[in-house]
Amino acid sequence: MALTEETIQDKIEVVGEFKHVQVRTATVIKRDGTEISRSFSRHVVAPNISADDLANESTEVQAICNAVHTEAIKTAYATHLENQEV
Amino acid sequence: MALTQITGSGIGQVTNIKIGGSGSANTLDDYEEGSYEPVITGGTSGSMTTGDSATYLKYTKIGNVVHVQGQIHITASTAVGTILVSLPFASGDTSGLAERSAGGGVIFDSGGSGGVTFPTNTVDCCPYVTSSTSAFQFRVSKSNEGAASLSNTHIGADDRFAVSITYQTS
Repeated sequence: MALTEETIQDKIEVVGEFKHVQVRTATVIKRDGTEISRSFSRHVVAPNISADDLANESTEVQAICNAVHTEAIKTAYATHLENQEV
Repeated sequence: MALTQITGSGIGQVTNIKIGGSGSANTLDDYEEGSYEPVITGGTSGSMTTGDSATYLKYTKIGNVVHVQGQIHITASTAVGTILVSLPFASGDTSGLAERSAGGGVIFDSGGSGGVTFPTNTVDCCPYVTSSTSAFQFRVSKSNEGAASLSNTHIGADDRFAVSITYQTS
């Protein structure tokens, strides 16, 4: 009997006006190649992510962020955060 | 209300369950549970490090509602500015301020020398989710003063917090 564990980003979504990128990471446990367990963790990449932090994301997430987080979106999001009425 | 209708497609992975009607407001289109390691940053710069095996929050998402809970221990900090704790899903942005949410929580010190320093005249403090954001902050109600948010001058290394927040996604 062989147990294996793999981690994959199995869902990447772009949501909302400011194009937040939601990333789901699945940890999959298999016994002899058959999946017996799958658990999830999550994180969100906002348009104001730093270049250093973005470099730590997967290449796929980086590509999506570079595509959707345009300068216009970054500026609009920064304005949105500044104008949050709290 | 009695359950009047359930429909779905697929075997083992039912999607778009209709409950009590056929409209989008009657559709349960998502369910997920998991955990995540929140990233804690300062609104100006820097971040906080977590540890003591208290580094994860649990979440459950039902439709467009997300519930987050757990306890985090802060072991080190370079954060400057308002303390922001990442969420597992971005919050929504509905009309008015209806998407806003305030949860329950407690912030306390590990028993070390520092301790939590709440702003003067604080009467309440809770985790607070604003619109279209990927992080929550700790909002403080003050007696006879405007509200404030906790920053690095209030919480830092060796402090801990437990939260229970329910909020809406987009």
